[in-house]
Amino acid sequence: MKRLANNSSNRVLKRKTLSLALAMAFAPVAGYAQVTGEPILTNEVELGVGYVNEDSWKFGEFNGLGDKGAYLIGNIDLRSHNRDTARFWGLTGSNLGLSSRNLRFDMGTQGRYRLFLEYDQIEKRGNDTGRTLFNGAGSGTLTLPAGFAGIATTDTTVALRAAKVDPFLQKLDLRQERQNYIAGVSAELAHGWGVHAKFRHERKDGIRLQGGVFGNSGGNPRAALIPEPVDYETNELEAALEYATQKMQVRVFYHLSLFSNDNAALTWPNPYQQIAGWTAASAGFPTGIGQLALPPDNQAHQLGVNGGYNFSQTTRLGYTVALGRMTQDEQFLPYAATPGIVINTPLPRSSLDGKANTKLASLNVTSRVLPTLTLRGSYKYDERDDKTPQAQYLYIGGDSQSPQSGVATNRARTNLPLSHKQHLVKLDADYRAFAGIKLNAGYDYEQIRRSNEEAAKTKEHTVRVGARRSLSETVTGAVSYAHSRRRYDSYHDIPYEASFSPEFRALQAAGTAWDNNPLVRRHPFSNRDRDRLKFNVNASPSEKVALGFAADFYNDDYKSEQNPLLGRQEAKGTTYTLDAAFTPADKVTTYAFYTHDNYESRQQSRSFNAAQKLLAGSAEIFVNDWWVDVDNEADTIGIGFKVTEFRSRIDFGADLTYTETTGHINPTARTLIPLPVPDNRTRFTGLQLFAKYQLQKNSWLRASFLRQWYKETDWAWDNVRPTEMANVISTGQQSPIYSVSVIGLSYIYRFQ
Amino acid sequence: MLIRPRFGAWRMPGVLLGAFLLVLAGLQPALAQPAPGKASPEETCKGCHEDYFNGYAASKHGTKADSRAPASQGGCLACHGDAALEHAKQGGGKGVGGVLGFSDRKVPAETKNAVCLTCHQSGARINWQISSHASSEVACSSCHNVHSGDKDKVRMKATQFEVCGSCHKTQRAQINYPSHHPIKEGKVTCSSCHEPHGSVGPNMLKKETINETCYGCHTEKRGPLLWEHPPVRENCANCHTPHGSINAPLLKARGPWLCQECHAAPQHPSTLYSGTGIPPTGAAQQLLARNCLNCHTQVHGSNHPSGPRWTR
Repeated sequence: MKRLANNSSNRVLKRKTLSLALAMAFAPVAGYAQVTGEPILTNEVELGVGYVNEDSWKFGEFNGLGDKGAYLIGNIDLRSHNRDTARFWGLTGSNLGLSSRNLRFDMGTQGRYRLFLEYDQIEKRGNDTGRTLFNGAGSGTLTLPAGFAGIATTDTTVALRAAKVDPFLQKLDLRQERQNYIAGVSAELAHGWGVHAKFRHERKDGIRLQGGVFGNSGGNPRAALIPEPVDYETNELEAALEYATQKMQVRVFYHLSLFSNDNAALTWPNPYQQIAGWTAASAGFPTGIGQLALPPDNQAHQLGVNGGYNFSQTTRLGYTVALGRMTQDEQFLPYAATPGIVINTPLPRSSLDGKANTKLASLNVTSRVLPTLTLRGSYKYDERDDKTPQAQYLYIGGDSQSPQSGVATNRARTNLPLSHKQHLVKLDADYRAFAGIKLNAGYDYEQIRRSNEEAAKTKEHTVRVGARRSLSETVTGAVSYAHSRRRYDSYHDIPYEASFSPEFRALQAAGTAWDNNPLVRRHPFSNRDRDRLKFNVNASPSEKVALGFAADFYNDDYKSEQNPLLGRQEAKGTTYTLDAAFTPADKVTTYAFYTHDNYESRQQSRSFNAAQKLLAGSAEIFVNDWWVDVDNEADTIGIGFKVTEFRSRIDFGADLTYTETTGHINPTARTLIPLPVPDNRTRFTGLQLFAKYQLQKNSWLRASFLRQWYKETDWAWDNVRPTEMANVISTGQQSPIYSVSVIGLSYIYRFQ
Repeated sequence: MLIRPRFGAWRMPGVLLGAFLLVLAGLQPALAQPAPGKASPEETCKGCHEDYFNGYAASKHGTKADSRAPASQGGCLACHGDAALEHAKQGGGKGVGGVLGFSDRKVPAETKNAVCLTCHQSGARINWQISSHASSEVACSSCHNVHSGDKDKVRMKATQFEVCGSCHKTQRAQINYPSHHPIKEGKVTCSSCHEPHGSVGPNMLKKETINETCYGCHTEKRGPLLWEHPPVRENCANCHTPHGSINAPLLKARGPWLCQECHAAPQHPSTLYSGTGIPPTGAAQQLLARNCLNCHTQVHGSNHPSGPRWTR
């Protein structure tokens, strides 16, 4: 008993010591808001220990819990707010012991000014089961290991290639981390004026997977998956000057974003020995060098004004005007990095001098013209005007071609800057009819002009109708239907004509002067009829029960002006959700839901070779026509409960989530004989339990348990060894499967 | 070539900002006075609604020293209306005295919102009237709990999605899909991309276009680039779906078929890929691993002079 008493007294002493230490640590800041003795309103600190029982990159993809072992549970929420002086400060931190941590400090005087500083970190784990042949992962220059002999054309089997590659494979850990440092200030000035500014500095570091190929086409590419370094820096400033009265509000804003990449290029040696298709004699192992351009430094500026004016209590005008500019002028890399490649025509420019100007103008009016009738109208103009200079480039395919061979080839290409102009008009009428039901009808017109794309102009008309009942204590809901009709004015192979040289095009036989099959209608701007139906109903048969059903269905029919046309033919989406919430008592809540989500599409194409171009490009039935149906399905179930103040001291609860997804591909063909594609499946189950026990008036003990099961199958990676493919060295990574438990025990102390 | 921004370039603005902050820090708030003719009945209301009062007092609304806050504009009356006095006089009760109750489902959202917009029409709410939320009769109080002190769930990173997900049910499910933005992990919130109070962008995005929204985090894809990939530059959502997908990375469908919806050139771009290219039957390099991206890796565009086919 004495020992127990001693333990108890020790615990009290420890708690007091901890409280004193925490209070002392934050006393100077706390004093800021306590000039007149107003009590601190929220001050909570949580400290504890958690334990993860298994390594799993997928489990720890974003949450910082990817590694087996103990971790610190650290959360703080210290805030003070003084009603009498308006002064406030706050220090909040979450996941302080993990790589997903966030820490933020705020202070200010409400109605006068506010400052904040924030640090935010997030680690994105990638698959860590793969391996790479290359040394130097994370740097801009990769090398092959000493002793590696290069894959020869005679290495025609997986075993032969594996004998060359496998002894040199090393672990490849794909992960990236962002660290953000943010500072902001806002001040309310006199007479309705205010200023706001926020600055963000981000470092993003890590490794991502990239493909590196030698060769160009015609059966001569040889590739390897290679680690690309990520060493990015972004600096961003957002500033605004505001003026507001009851009558009008206006906001002038400026946005600056500067991106820089520490690595301009990724260079890697060719692991394949020379093959016949490579006209550069030095392209193969051990002399061939490949070089990829990594994302170039760029800048963006935008200056604009956004405002509103209340003509009366029922009529309001809104407007936005913004001008922006995006620029990029990174020094060009050479056409090829492989030594010995003959460059007989120099680059037309040393850098792009890329420049795209953006313009946005919008105007909208909302007016309740009658007590029961509200009208809305808006117009928006959005333009991207790409002023990037055009030039002809005589490219070297995949660091393997030599020499350049004049302009009468498909290797003489002119870059195509992309501009567009969008006009969007929206008109709406809401009529409050009867029994709390509001009827809606609307019409949208959208016109988009594009440069250097097949459809220079598209127009889309949409009509919408709907009904909504929201003024009820028992049953509310809404139903809406929209029909859209999009058409292009003409469809022409502009990219081919604008990018390939006239000298090359003149060499093509009649009916074959194209790069992409002229029967393809690209879905971002092809003719399309879209129908969309949305429905939801929520019922509360009693104060304790809420039930809901929501459904969303759309069907896109890509209309052809002639048949057969290639590309996406049809797409449709179906989602519906059943929801229930039950509150049997004041301190008890329960919920359950089920969501079904399905996306389906159908596409048509045809297999052909160069000799079949003429036939394959004609609008006739073709022997090698094929179709693929895509069916993505997901079902999600959630169920949970929470009990608070059980026996006045205990909060506890549980959440269970189950998600099952299936990706189904069904290829069919006129005469070709495709084999079925296995379904890709995932199964996720997550169970989370927590209990919080009140020790004293201002302290709690929190216990948590998280268990997740996950299984994925993906034929693109599973059982695909690094040398499985004849011409691509892969990583051999496998789909994730995990079963991870996390337990946590923490102590929560609240300052009074 | 761009001059890379370094902290050195920010030294002078930093000094100016620091000086500005010091001046601000020295500012004292003006002593606020209750609005003329509105005696604050806070103590009366607190008698029956103590939890609500405590939450209000702990919130910005309860700050007496801020002349803009309800606490300086008649307290509870500022939002609930003068009828609250009659409500108290008659001894309280739901709707008694004509008090404006923000949880009363029979009061139109427009009526409730008009109260909030009296003070909050500026800043991010300038475009409220053209938002889908406004036309769908969403009330400010549908999402915000102004009586929760500084614990308004929708304004907290870790819990915002619970609020949004209560209506946006498909997205609530999608964040559990194998490929998703870190929303359920609390690192990306709905309001990281969307402006729930209305915007001129599509789907109430914060920025004017989908792409400019994506460039906020994926800055490296902004360009302009020498060899642009048209569907990428026009709309990231041509290939990606933002809330969750069964196809990594957030793709609407899998390659190579996703690419083949637009590309049908001679040889491999037009080949029908099927189980014939999957082990043990076969091992098609355009089908396995990263499929088309094993070689055409610069699918977001290339700035390499030899990159018109996005291999460099």
